[in-house]
Amino acid sequence: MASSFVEPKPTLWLSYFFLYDGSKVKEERDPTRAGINYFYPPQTCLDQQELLCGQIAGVVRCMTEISNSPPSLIRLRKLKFAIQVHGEYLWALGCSVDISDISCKCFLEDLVGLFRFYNGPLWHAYRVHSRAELSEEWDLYLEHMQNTAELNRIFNSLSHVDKTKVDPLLLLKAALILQTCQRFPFILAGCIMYNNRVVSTQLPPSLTSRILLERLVRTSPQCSYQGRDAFLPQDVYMIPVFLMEKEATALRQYPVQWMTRIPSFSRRTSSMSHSLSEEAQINQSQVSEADLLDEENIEKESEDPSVGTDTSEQQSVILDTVFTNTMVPSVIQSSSPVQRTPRASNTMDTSSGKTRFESVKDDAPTGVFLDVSSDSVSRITDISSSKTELKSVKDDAPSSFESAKDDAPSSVFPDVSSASVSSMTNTSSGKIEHESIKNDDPFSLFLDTSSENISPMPFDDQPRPSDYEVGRDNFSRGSYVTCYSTDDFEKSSSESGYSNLEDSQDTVKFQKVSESKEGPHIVKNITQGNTRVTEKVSIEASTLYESQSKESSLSHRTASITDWTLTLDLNPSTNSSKLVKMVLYVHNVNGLVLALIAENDFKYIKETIQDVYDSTLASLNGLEVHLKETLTHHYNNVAKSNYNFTHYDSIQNILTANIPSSSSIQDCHFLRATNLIHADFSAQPSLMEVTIRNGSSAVYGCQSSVHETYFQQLTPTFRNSGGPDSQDTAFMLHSKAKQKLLKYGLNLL
Amino acid sequence: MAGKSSLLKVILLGDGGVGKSSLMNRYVTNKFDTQLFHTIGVEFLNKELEVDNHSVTMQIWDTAGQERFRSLRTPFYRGSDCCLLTFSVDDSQSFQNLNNWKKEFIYYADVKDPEHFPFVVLGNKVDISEHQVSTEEAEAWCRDNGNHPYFETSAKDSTNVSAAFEEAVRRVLAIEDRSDQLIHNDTVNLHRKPKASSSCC
Repeated sequence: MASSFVEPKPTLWLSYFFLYDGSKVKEERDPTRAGINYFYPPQTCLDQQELLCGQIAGVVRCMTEISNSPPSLIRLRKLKFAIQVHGEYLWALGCSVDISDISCKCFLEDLVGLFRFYNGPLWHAYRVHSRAELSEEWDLYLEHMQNTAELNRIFNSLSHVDKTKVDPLLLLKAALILQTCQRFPFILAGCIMYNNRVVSTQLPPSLTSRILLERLVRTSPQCSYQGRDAFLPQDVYMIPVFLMEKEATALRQYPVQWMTRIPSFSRRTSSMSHSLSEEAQINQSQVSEADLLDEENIEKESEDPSVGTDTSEQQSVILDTVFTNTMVPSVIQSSSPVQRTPRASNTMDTSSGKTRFESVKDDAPTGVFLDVSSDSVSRITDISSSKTELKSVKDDAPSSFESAKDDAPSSVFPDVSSASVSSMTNTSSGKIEHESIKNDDPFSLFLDTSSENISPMPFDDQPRPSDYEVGRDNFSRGSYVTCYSTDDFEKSSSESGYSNLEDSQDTVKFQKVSESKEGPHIVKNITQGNTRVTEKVSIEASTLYESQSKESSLSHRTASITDWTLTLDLNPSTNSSKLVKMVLYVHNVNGLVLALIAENDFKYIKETIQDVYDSTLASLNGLEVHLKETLTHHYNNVAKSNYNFTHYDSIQNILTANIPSSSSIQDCHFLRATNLIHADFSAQPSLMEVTIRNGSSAVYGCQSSVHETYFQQLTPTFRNSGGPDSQDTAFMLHSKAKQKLLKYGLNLL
Repeated sequence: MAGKSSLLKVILLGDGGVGKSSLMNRYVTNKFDTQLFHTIGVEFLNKELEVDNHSVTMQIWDTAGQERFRSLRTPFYRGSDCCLLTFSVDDSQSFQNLNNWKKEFIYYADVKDPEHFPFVVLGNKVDISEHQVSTEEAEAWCRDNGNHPYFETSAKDSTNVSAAFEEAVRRVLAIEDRSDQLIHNDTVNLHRKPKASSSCC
């Protein structure tokens, strides 16, 4: 196994990838090959493809029937497969066993994410484009992933320009360019790259990484959009992109309150000033979602009759359907906000479709909600360490939930949360404290930004970039808010005591948290009455819950990996959430790329596009010459030092390392050790330091909530007496690392 | 030279906040943005225009006026064909600093013949009613420092902006013409020599 690392081949880690459409293979005489939408490596003979797809699909089907949720990882003797299921579609990505479970799942997530970002929902893409076209897309994404440097792949981090070599003023300049763009209507956020490395970004890492591919896409024949937009300025093109709803919401909620921002949406002028900006954003979102939403409805209508059916294989389809359908009324509701009562509009959530909970909420005792939400807050933040418990709870669920809900399998989810109320109270206390400390940062940040109109720089610094942090953030807010009684809170906010942006944000978060927990109560309340409604609500609640638990478990770096051969996960298909169509504005100036995500309507407004172009061109020209000057001078002088290190800043998603691209055997050992320790770290967040060693070397790793650092001393020769020895060099790695890394501005404390 | 588009590098220098970026934007995009950030380092835009039957592409380099950005901007002075020294008529300090800007430019651009290098002086923000620098004062400075042309401009209401930039182009072209002629008179035609030697044999 070690020998495989001596000569690292770029493709070694990725063995297979396929997309299988189960709907094409229903009957005995249907050939398996009909269901294979894409298979990598493409030269694999069709029989083998069928064998593998058939087997994997069978295992997934079987597991799903047994446990009601598809496996997320299947581990074989020499391979492991990350699995994602969306309705009838099945993705599987086969990695070598050297790759940690977490990375394996991450790669698949990234791939699927890339595809959805550029092509929209799967069913949509495969209807609009031919299989061959989309296979080219998959080729492109796989190639992109395989071209990622090993170190970046280990940490799933982005490649940034070397910030030690670039004048910080230039980074500031890049950030200012992005801010300038945000002054224009429809522009949400953006990113500046130079030679495919990030210079400055306002986007969360997941989105930034997808845009990094853009340079490749541009040169591919897929870019047929250009012809249509003949009016675009030179070197600019626009392509449609699809964001997850939560990503879109995050971008829209972003508190840019520029004085100069042209009010292009009918902002409501009412006394409820606190909900103003959000409503504007909702209106905005209605506009842009409309087209996609319609399509989805059309698509889903045919599947509607299946809502009432109960075969477990259809579960996720049902989930989707119900979710999409129940979306519609609330969308209509929120697009006419004037008719809403003050309280209702105050609780309006930007991730629409959940407002129906509000009415039910009053029926239940407030105190219960407080408990439920605060407990489950910690429950969920704790999810990485206690997934096993969660599972066991889930197994018990049907029995504790006596009201004959077996026709809706997903209704076990609400039970999980209600069960957690009783089971998790103790573990929560310590955690909550931690959360509220964490809470301070973004909180004050919102204050800052809303009052002073400074924008994207803080965004880079706040925890948002990592999904995990977003999740925690949400929940911590929830727990914070629940310090008030629910009634008080709502009263005060509706009486305009709360008029700040950050407060309305709190409201939103609070709703999210409490709503998902209200699932069981609602179910109980309504069960006597309309079963149909119950079902919908509970499913919706579970969908919410799923998306939340996903948010926290999506946290690649933190989610737990268990050592079972077959890892089950509550993680549902990534697809229970809606996609929002937006447009990506890309302007390339000799390798310096400005990419902006804008509302879909942006592409229709020629004047605004020209304005954005005019106000950025000069700065981009300037930035490009500056970067060219700085970076060409500094190439190829990576002085080989007598140690290897790598430092990953998980907040900013920045990797610093001194490892040259052409690796020696020592370097390969280092990378491998790093990979191993990283997997351990992500499995056990409480782990602080790890040193692993063999006869010739030792690698030291340490982690905190903000970074992971790995260090290896190359000289003097490693001394290992074999027994406990204070002179052992391995014990000095910690202090050495501390001392050496200071010069890179990395303080290990 | 005529008929063929040539690239002229024109650089805007002057104190921070006198309106260099606004002048450039007004001239090239005909827009005026009151919310511009400080320029960091340098920026540039290209503008194609025709002056006296010469079609030229003017590359207008806008620089950061603030002292702290000095190290970023100075490397880009080199190769300039014309320098637009800019001050604000409502700020006498920016006018007094013109001398320093001129010196800085000559030093970093490595100008061989500072006496004849084309400078154009722009007094911006004439739309503001309270002037601290009078037209006479400015014209006197231009006369004493090498007879530079002086324009009172306003990027805000577009006064004299294109006239100033066009004048810069004219100056450059005039100098190029003159040097073309100089070169023409002083050259030795090398191609003739082998012919002569061959005839000799």
